[in-house]
Amino acid sequence: MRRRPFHRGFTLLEVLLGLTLAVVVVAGAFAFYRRALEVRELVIQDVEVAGAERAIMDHLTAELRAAQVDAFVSPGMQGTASQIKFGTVVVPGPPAWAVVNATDTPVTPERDLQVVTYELRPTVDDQGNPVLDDQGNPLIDGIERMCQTLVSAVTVASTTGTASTLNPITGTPTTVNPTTGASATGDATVIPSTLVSARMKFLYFRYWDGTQWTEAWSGRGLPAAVEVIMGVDPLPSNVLPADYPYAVFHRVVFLPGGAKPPSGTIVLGLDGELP
Amino acid sequence: MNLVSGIWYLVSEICYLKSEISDLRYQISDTRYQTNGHYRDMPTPWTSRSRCRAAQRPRRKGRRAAVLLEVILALALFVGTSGIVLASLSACVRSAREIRLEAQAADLAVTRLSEIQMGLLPIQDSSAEPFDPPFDAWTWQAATMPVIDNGEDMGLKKIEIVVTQTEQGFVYRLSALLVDQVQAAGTADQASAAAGGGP
Repeated sequence: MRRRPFHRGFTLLEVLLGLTLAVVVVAGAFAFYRRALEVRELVIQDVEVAGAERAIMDHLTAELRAAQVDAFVSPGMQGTASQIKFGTVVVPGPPAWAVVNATDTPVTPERDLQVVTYELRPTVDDQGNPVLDDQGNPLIDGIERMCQTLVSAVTVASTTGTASTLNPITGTPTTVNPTTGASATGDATVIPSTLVSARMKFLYFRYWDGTQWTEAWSGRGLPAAVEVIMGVDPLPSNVLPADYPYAVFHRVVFLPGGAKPPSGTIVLGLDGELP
Repeated sequence: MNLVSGIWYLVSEICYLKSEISDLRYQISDTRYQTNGHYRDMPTPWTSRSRCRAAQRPRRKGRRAAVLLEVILALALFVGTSGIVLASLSACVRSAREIRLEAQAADLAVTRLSEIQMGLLPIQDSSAEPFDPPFDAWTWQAATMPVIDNGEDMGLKKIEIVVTQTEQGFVYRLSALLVDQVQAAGTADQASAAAGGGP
């Protein structure tokens, strides 16, 4: 009978030491993994915030620098501490040159003058009521941008309440609220609204009138500059926007269309007025 | 890394102790086998018949070394993998910080350029000056240069805004062409005078 080859087993001490070592290694690996996940989340959040801030600031800067006062249709600028609305010049998109057949669905036309609006979008429930947090502060979805690509004189003539205009596609009259973009018929004249960032919960504007900063601007002209302030945290209740307590992203944008000309010859606009 | 160093030290000590204990047991076993011929009939927890026979064979140092080599390899792989992951995380954190710094620097540079365009600051060279709080960790300076084409002053100035984060050594540059307002005003006055009209 052949004898079984010798195989020395593990002693209890070796097993305990092995288990202890394994537990220590696994615990270290798990702690390392958790820390890596936390760092990853922080990095993603940082990059998203910085990217959103940069995108919004750059887009808003480009549109503010191209802001125009049109003699017929442009409303100039209307701004408050939390909202800004102005006409700006852009290169029309592909729909401006789209060629379609009579049987195709017509595309929404565009022109080179657009009216854009930036403001905070409050969180609303199914009934349209604002949603409040535990402290009674309204929840904010983020910063939204509305762009009215088809601007007509009738539409922009009334900046409050409602205005009636003709739908260039269907030829039917449409009632449009120029502030909210709500359309009674819900057709092509609805102003598109886009949530440009869900990270930003605070938005604050100030306007340079040539001598000082103001929190409101209204009129046909444009301010010389607009100060844009954004923040990640919502504004606490009972706190003024100027006293926002958290870190902010801040930029002052000069508006060439709103600047007063240098001393010397003054060239009046088409309507005989200074912009 | 302290954790990894501690684990490495612990494993080394365990391997060393295990080796010492094994050597000691084999020495005891060999001594008893050689000195006590009746030992086969009195096995102890430390020795057995097979152990005694095994004690006559060459000591299997190769097998222990292989186990130690496996542990060392496993730990080296663990440390290497951890190092790679740490390096990746560090690179991600550094990139995120640079993105944040670049966004902040762009805001500050555009703001300073806008203030120059608004007429709040002159279009001229300036030395490094700090921003107001909370951006006092940043400094800015301006460098201007007249635009000359074919020897003719075009009435424009190229201005470069250099924004620097002093703590982390981050630098951001923004260039723009601005109308030299002094020269533009003089040209406009000359044109008005030539036309016979007042300003």
